[in-house]
Amino acid sequence: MATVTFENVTKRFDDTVAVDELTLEISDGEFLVLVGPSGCGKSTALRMLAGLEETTSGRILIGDRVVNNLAPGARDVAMVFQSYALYPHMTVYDNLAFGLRNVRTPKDEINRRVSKAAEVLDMTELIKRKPKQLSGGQRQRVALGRAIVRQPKAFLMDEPLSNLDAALRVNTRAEILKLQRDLKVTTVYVTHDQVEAMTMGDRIAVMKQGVLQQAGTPEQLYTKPTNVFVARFIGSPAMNLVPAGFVKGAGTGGQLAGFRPEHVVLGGGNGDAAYFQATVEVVEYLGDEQLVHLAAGDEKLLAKLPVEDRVPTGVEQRFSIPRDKLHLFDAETELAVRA
Amino acid sequence: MAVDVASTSAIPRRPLSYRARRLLVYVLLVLVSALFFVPFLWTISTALKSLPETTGFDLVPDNPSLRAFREVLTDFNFARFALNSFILAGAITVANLVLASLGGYAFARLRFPGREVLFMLVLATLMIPDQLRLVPVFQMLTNWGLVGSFFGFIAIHLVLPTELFLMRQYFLTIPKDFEEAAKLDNAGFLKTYWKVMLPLAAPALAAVTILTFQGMWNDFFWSLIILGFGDPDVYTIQLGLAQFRFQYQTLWPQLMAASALAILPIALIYVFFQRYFVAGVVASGVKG
Repeated sequence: MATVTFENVTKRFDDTVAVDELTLEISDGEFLVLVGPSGCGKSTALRMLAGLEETTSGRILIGDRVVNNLAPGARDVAMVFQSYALYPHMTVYDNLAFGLRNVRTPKDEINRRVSKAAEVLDMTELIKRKPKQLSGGQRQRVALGRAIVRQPKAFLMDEPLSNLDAALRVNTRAEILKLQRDLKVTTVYVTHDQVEAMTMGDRIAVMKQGVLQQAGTPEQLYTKPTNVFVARFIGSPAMNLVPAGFVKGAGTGGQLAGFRPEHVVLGGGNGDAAYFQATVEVVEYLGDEQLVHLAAGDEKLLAKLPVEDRVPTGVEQRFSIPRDKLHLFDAETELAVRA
Repeated sequence: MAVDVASTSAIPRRPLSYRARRLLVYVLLVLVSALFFVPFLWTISTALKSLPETTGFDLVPDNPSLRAFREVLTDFNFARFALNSFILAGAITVANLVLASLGGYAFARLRFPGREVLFMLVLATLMIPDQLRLVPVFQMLTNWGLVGSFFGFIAIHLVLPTELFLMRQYFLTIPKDFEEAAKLDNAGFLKTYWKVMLPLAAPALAAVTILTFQGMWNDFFWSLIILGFGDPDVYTIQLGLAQFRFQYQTLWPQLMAASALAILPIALIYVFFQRYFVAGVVASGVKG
């Protein structure tokens, strides 16, 4: 186990800057999620850490060691690929043992580690099968097993859940978390799914167009987004953003007001609340709550309300937002003015 | 009521025009298959005839006999020719499996200066007909004292451009994730090639095996140039077949019996590797 540090790391592909001056420190044993839309540079950052891409400039450290010029195998990290990349012609056992054999681990030790990993991941009975004889979830576990047996300083995971169906994804998410907590291995996890990021990460680093936007705990990102991009990216459904003047008592001109659908309240709210008038367009009934689509002039807004609230469609109503749930951003720089 | 239910639940038959069309397609397919099969059938039939009988057009011999097969195997040095062909085709196939796969892997994955130009040069050699290379190759082999020797024949076929191209194309279709996983698993370049990439390229290797072995087994041109003017002990099976033709006469039953026997190894290899062969050729985007 070790810390992982990116120091002003940049990666250029010809004229395209994939990662721009990334600086990020991941503590020993921490679970850090790199999240962002596709093409934001998160996978490239992970691949640079793994040694699969060269850095254009900057330093990457694993522990105290600068690893920029180390071969992937010498960095002592294990990676779980999106495609799992299990060797199709090898059995599960051989897939797990391959890396250990390459560093001439004694046979008994290989046996011990593979058996242990198989036991931890509940796949002892699969050990003699080949990948094509496994389900998607089982393959995923083998890919995790391949990472575990190496006992690396860090786990690198590149969207490992994206090939699983929704139900399995939720289960596996929990399994990975539990495993990481048990093994206490520093983990860098890449995903484009903000729900995955929120539920798994000790900390989340949000990237956009190669630039790190904000790094912090899920709560920090949710409650104190540093800019419009993070505010919109974190949270589902996404935060409403309107010119500040639209919400009475929110802010001044040249600012954007942001509020999350789950913080919208039907009616005037308390005396301190900001409010706006809007017409109910569509109501989506979700069982425990309802998602209300609102329109006010050109603005389209979303509110998540308790099912008890009466919101007939086509009727203009007043909605309010508690002041402490209101976010203000500079309309030009898109940076938070008061979070 | 019951009648109604039956009539609504019954599955209507396909229209007559559809069935007629299908029948027509099958008849055509059978005819085309027969067209390809007739020469083979004629070969067997002629092999079972006597020499005077071969002048006729009967497919079924009057007195079928295995005499021609016996003579081929005893009077002529057929076994020796077959062994020679087997050694040459086998050695060249092995060489191509190793070298074309290594070269193909390098062209597909390694980044080195001049890679594209080199690969274009390899492809360009496909456009030079053998007849054009004949004199320089012959001269070269003469200088090295390799005319009339197996080594000469093997040397000029060590890596065939088609096989190299096929391997490269196949390696390009293999996702890079496997190699990257191997890199993280501490496998070096050669280990990755040997333990990961080669097994994944099995269909292409099967295709190379069939193409090379078949090509070399059937080769007449280079066999004649390099091996055909000296000791008959180094003759290949195709040169052997030519022995049944004389200036004023052709021993048709013996020629056909030997031809039928010569086809056998190729047919066996094809039957064995066919499944992989199709996969390999399709994935490489190369026509066989």
